[in-house]
Amino acid sequence: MNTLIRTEILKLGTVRGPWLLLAAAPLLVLAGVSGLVLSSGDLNKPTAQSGALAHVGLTSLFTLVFGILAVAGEHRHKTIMDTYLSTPARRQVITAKLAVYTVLGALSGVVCSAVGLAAAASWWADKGAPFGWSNSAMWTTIGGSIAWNAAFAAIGVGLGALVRNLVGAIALALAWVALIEGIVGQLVGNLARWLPFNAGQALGGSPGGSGGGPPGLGSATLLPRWAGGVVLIVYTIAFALAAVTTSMRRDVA
Amino acid sequence: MTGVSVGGLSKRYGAVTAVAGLTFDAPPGEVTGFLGPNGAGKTTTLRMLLGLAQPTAGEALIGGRHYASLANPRAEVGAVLEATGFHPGRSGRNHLRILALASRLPEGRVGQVLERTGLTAAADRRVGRYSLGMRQRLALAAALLGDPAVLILDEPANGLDPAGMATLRELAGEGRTILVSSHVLSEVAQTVDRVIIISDGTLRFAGPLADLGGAGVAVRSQRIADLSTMLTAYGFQVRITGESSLEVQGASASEIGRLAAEAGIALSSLGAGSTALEAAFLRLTEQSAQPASVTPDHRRHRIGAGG
Repeated sequence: MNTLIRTEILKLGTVRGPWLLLAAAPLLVLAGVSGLVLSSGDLNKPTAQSGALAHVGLTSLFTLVFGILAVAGEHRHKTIMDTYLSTPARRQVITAKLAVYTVLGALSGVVCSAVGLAAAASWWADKGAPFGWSNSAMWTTIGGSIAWNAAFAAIGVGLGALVRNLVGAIALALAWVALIEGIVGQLVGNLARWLPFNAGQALGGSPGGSGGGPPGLGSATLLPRWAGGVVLIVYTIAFALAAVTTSMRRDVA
Repeated sequence: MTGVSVGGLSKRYGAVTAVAGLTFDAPPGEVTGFLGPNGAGKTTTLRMLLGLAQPTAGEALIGGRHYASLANPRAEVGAVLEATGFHPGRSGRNHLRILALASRLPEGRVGQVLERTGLTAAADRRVGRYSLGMRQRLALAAALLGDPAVLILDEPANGLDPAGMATLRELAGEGRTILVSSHVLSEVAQTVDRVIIISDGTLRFAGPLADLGGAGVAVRSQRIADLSTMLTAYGFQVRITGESSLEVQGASASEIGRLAAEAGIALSSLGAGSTALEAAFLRLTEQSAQPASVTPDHRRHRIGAGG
């Protein structure tokens, strides 16, 4: 297992694409925090800090695509053959990928949090508002967002292993988040809060403060934070199990 | 010594049967040609041998074991598959480093196989900049990485030059089992010891190349009866194959030409052995074109699929 984890890290270390993708995440946080400060203005609101840092959670869209690259990317470039020829125990291959990508998803969340904190603290100082470093709501948002980043990386690995077509998997993931969760949200109301992206928002918070946020559940109520976390864990495990079991059986073309 | 053995192997994709009850062996120390027209089921068979596809029935074993249960597959089997690919942004050397790490092979092997395949100078360039020939050599380098006892090559003739084919002979001489697929017999005729011919997923012939009738020479002449009598008198095996053609076993083309000239018999053509081989190959595989055994779906599969 150790060897497989090192192999996955070496694979990632020898290409640029996945890193460019992850590098875009902190930029989104920087833009999000700055945009919020410039548009809303009232930085003394008690929820302002956690609202700004909630942009970290949105970068889970990047870790989702990052995770999809793990398996679907190997199918795209047909390196999966060599991978399975080296290690016919596919269960171990997928498990190693899940481990590596989940940890890197979390690390991406940590980096985004650091960038978000630095950006927020600078803006607060610039506007002359006191920045509360011990603001517990803010730290809960950060913790939840990092977990959301990690979970979506794992879900991405699972989705990529299920769909295997790289473009198809990415299109499906983004369409799901942007369209399905939003549309289902309007159609079935409260049921939508059980869907992955909305569960993630419950866990990590939505930008601009509690309550409404893009692009899933408008003002409809999200799950409580703990419940969002539990639901997200269930999705993560379900996708991971599906990835492992389907990869065991299917022929590689 | 590790050989390859396939027994009762079948693979169905829905209504299409790609491989049907295939049984053959590829022994160590020999180059075995695995031949058949495109879509005959060659690649499917090799994929089952390598654990990439699951057989519907039967077994495909390497040294008596399934690929998945080999302790260190790359140290026992090297494979060059047409469908293998590389990440275009990764260097050839890094591609091999990844495979070496995954198979717990010493990193020094990477430099050695790069050297053997003549890729050392290009090793640190991105594979996206490689020519087709270089990619195929990189695939061969990957197959050789674990110094395997069994080497499986799927349609390598497109990428292997005559020197590369000679290398295969060399590798077999070291006691390795070499299984080479091709849809053109003449491409591998100079290299293989044994041939396995399949068509429509079933075995048509398995045995030494000579038994295929390939050692013979195809001759055309207007005086076929006289020629036959004369060659038989010299102790050669002669088989009349047409109104003005025959096939001779045991004599070289130049020998036949000389004897015919001495006897004053004019020859209209004198074919090298491979012509006769190709004829035998076509005869063995053409039966598959009978409509009775081919569903429309199947025919499309044969045209579309590569092996």
